[in-house]
Amino acid sequence: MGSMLEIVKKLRAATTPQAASGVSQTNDADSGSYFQPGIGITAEAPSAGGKCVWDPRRIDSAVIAFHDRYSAVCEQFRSIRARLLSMNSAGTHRVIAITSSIPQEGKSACAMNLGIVMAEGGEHLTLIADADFRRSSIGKMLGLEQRPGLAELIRGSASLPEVLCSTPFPNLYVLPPGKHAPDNLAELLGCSAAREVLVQLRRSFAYTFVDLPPVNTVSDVSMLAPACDSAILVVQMHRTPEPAAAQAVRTLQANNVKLLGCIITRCSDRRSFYYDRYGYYYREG
Amino acid sequence: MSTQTRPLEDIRNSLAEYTRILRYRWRCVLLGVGIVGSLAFWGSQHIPRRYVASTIFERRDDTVLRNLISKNSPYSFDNLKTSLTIDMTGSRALAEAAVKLGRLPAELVPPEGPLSEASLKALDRTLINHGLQASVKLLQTSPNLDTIQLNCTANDPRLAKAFAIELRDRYIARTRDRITEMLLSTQQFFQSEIERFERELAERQESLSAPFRDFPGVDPTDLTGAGTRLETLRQNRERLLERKVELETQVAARERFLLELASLEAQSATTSRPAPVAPPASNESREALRRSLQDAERELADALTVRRMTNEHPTVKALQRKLAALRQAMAESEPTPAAAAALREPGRTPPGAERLRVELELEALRRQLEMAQANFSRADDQVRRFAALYDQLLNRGEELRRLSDQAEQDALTIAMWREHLGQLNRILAAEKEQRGVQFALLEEPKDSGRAVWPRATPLFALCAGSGLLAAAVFVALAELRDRSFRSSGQVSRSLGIPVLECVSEIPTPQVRRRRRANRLIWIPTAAILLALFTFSGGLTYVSLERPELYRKAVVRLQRVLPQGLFPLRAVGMR
Repeated sequence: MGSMLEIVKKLRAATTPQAASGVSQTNDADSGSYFQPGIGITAEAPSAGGKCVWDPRRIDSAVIAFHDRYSAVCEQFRSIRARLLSMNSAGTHRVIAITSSIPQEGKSACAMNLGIVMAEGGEHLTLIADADFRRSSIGKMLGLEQRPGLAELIRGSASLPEVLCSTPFPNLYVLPPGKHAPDNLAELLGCSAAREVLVQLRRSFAYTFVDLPPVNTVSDVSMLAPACDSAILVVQMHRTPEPAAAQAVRTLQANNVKLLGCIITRCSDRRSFYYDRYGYYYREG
Repeated sequence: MSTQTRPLEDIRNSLAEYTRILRYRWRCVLLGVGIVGSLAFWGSQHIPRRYVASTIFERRDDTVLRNLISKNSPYSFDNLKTSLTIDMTGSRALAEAAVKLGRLPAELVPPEGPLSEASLKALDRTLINHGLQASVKLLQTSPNLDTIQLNCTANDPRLAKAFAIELRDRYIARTRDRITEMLLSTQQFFQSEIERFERELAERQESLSAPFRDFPGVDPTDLTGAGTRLETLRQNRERLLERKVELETQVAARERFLLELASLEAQSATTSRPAPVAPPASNESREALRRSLQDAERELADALTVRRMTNEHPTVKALQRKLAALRQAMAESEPTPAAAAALREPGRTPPGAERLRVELELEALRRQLEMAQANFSRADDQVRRFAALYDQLLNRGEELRRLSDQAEQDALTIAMWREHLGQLNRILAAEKEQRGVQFALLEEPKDSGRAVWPRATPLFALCAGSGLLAAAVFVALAELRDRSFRSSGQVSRSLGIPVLECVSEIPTPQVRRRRRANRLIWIPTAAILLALFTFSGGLTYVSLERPELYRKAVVRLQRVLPQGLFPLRAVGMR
């Protein structure tokens, strides 16, 4: 436990002063609560961290948990966090794949915001791993330059501490996808090293959110998702076709992936949600 | 409770769901209502309008004329009532009105006779093209007064008005012609009736007066007059008889004188002084005179006693005169000493001259006697014939009286018909000056300019309804095509996994830009569509309610918009 704290301190020290100042306002109220051990899921953190340059102006506005942590949307992500924590009281779901049925449904933003709110309590060491080698979004959202990541880790050309990237948020780390040719991704993701990497991540972090490509688009999910503990499907309201989502669910279930649930994005009309919920409630009553 | 509230809840939920769909598909609603509704309004301006021109007038028939014709003529004013619809809205009436208004070629409508098949087809086309229709309604009817309402429909309010005026004027003129024609026919009928009755009267009078043709002045029906006439004839006969007897007496006296003179002359020739003694009259002639005297006395007694005639009665007087004449003749038949004395007296006229004078007198008297005998025979014949007719009158009195009554009746009838004819002639003269049947115009066709069809309310409901229907179709199509998720419940039910959370859209700059772009596109679009919808609807309303204003507006709009975009012809304007 003590080693994990040291690694975290090292990683925090490695962050740039600009980044630290950029998040200092948001962390003022929470300072001191990130590093309270013994609460929630414990994990063994990697021993070293890479140097990342954080510029708050380059962080994508979709990272609402960074820009406006008291917004309603951020609160909704906290609601997901609460839901996950309640569902994962036994600590069996530590590596959670986040995927969708079609591209551009907001899974990277979900993974990013969910990772931030999961880490902001200071209880859970959280990692956001970008496994979308074809269209990486995490790094772009955080304004990170291209650097070694998951691909190098799987290939063994770099160790976890070398590829981990600390963030201005306490307990939150980012694992970029690294550099790999897209034509032999199947060999990369299908090898046992990939599963061993996920085992290592499960051992090191309380929660690891793996940002996967769309299920119906590429077959990467079929190789990587079964190695995860569970998966969350992102569905965009009024955009995701129902057959595509159903197909994605069937694909995941066919690969023995446990689906924790789905996150519906771009819910412009929350009343419909309440309507359904209350409707069922009344019907049951 | 749940079973009772469930249907209500379901309705509420369904309504909420529809509302949600409409709110989500507001663009479809906007496009449907805006575009299709505007198109519907624009298209509705192509619907030909129908304008109605209504005129009310009354036809007041002359009561005298009506009674005169209806009671005495086979023609009737009722024909005018029964043929009112045909007269005003029949094919010929419509065709002639259309020709007058220049909507139908004049050569297609012959002046007389039925319309040909081609004419009828052309007329139908004209009526359809201009939306011309006519209907007649009798608002009030009585034997002498009809209040007639004529309604004309057309695409053009002015055409409807002109059509109504034309049909009305044509009906009035035609009715006058028909009435004049009827009056002329009635006049001819009256004249023929008069002639017929006159012929019948003449025949009856002829049958009555033919037997009495030789007795002018005798009325066959006047039995007393005929009796008087018979008596007069008899008196005349008696008078002639007296005259004849008188002349016979004188002739007899002259003949006796000549006989005596001859005997005297013979005596004087044989003796120197013959005694001039007049020979006494012959016994036969004296006997004849005595019988005539007795007959006359008997007749006189019969007249005074049996027939109870007075002394002043002409018959009695005639008999008295006859009796006096016979008595004088009887007295003269005694031997006259005058002749003998004349022969004996010296210085008197010589006997030869006397004989000559008496012979001449005798000759004259004989001629008078012949004439008197002829007159008597004629009078006697008249008396006999008239007596026979008189007997006939006594036997056929009833029949002759009936004939006479009929003749009188005929005369009265003729007088009545002559009176009718005189009345008719006066009315005909008045009718020629349009003072017979009166037409009064109660209401001129008004050019209100408001279309009676289509009505604004149904048309607006139809256009707006078509827009809403199109919007509903668009929404339904969009909903059918859209397989995306609409609610978290749908996601949960469809995928069979729990919904962790519904995350609102993160207001990124891209999202804001997209929203701004949407606003930039859709707000003007909505404004334009709503403006188009309002403009089209307003134009349609104006075209219905204020056509003149519509015409002015369209004329101005056509300066800047393509020609034909706004159909002036459809609203009856050129």
